[in-house]
Amino acid sequence: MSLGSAIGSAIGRAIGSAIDGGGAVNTDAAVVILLGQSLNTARGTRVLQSSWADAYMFNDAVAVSEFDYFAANNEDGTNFVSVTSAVALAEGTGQSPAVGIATTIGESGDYARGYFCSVAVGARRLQALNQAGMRANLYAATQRFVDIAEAAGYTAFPIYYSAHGEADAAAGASESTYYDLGMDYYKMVRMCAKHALGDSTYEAPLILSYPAQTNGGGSGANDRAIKEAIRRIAEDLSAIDFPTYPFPCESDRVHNTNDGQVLRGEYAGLCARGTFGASPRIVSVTLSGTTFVATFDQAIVRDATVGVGSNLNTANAEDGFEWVDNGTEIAITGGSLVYGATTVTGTLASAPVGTLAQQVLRYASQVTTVTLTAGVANLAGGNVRANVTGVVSDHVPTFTHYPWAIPQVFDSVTAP
Amino acid sequence: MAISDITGYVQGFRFSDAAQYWDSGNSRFIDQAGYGDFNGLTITAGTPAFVGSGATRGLTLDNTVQGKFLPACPWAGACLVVMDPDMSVNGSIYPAIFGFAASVASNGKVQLTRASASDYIHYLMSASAVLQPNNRYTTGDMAGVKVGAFAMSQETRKSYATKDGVTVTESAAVAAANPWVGMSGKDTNRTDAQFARFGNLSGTIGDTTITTNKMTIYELHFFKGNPLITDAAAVAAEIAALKTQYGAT
Repeated sequence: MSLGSAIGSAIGRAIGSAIDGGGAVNTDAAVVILLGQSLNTARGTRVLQSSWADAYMFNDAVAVSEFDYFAANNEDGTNFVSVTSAVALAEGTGQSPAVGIATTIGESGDYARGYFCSVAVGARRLQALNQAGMRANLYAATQRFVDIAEAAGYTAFPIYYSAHGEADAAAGASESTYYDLGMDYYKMVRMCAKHALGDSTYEAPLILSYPAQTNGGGSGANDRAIKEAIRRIAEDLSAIDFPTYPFPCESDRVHNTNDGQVLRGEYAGLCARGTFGASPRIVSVTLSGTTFVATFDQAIVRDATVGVGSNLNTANAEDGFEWVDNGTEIAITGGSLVYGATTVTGTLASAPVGTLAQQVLRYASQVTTVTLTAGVANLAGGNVRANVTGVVSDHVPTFTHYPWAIPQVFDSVTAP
Repeated sequence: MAISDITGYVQGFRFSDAAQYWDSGNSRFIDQAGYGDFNGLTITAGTPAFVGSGATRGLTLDNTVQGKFLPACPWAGACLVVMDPDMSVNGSIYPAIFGFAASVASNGKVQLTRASASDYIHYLMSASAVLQPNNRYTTGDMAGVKVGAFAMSQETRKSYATKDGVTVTESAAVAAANPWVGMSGKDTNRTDAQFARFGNLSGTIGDTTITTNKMTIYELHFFKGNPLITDAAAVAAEIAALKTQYGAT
């Protein structure tokens, strides 16, 4: 299935019914379920409430981590009393990405109303999300919102956004283990939507973000394994993926700031409503002597205005690109990068000694051993984004959303 | 009348080796609810032994043939089963287990219990038996294939069971403080725990030793919601049709 058809079953139907009949009443409802771990819970301090009057949450709270039962056991399934009805979306003391998602979905006018719930639980590996109460909560949230929306006369369109990977990276999960489990988990997520709707043809839009960083620095090998697994899952399931490095982080490099929570939510909402598709990714790399050419899957442009990873580009990295020759980094000559419409051409400081099969081009995967500092300058990231019109943030008007290139470890280098 | 006529049908298997039910190339029972391969039941150990013929074809379960399927109702829902116990000693066997906790008691499951030579009980049971809708068969009512339906409701926090779709037994409501109401399990963290175990009659993970107590399973179907209450007429009609098909009492 193409990416377009993956999002088409929900977004296309929403837009279509909004305009069908020359002014027919829009009765489409987005059911947005947030998955994953702490980044998708309500955390930190609330800085923004929803301005969309048609945004709803369950009667207990926007996130199961704030439900009454949760304090007693984080891995229980919710009680019906927490999901009995829908009330106006209102964050509690913390800030989840839900408000940001509601902002951008609401602005689009594609949906008459939106229902939002986070079933994420902090510090849980994928295998934990797959089972017991956390799996039950995925079904509970989806089914109850579908039932509530339909009872109110709306047509529900479940959409899922997952922010996950930190716990598995910290535990040293391999790329293959995370990939296999993730494929089963996200297939189950989409099956949950089919079951809730009673529609075997519905392919729920699935949005995946990459961790900014997962294991507190070091070699970054654990991080790269998980990010590669997420990339493969996104591609194999036709999900929309995006990196989180443009959004400001706390000093732990893992969690977004309160404003970053909103910004990330805004971006996920832009994906959910179809403004942005999958982020740019490298699809081929050639090497001839000391010259490499990386080709992206879409038009790209260099943009250093955000400055992600700017403190990490002082040694071997250039704009977030790094070259590895049989396990040893070769510096990319400073100022050598030339940007084409879909390509980046660069020059290595010395010719690799290994075979082509031993060459790797990494992007947005720098080792992060310098001093922890809040913001994005010390996050692994780069300066490549899609060459598209950006969307100015509602919450931070000085910030413009773009699809930034995903973190990548490209190891299929060929001759030109 | 067909199973799919019952409201909320989300997953189901007919344990026959006819091509519309059994994908021999992939060792998979085809999901009869129409949700595709990922909703199917894959045999992962042993070689299925089918018994009977035609409309009464079934699968012998003796712990040597096992598989897995994605449980469609981990939070709340209903199931309908057609099975025939062959139990010679008192004890319990588990044709389906929803969870991978080391102790089978901590998992949701479909359970058959032989309490005595004249007392069989068919259960759908939540983790730690918080809810345990069941149909009991005693002297004069024990022999042959049985058709039963069960449900666990989060909304009422009650369980429901019926042998005919007309008379529905109903448990008392469980306190909201107890989370283990649905078809899920108190799992330890296992990478394979999103799937239900099928045919692991002993309840011991990884054990494929033949058991003394056996059964023949014919059909296993799952529904969202509680059709035993909300679509009782359809459930009753289907149970009657299945009883006729299998010659069940």
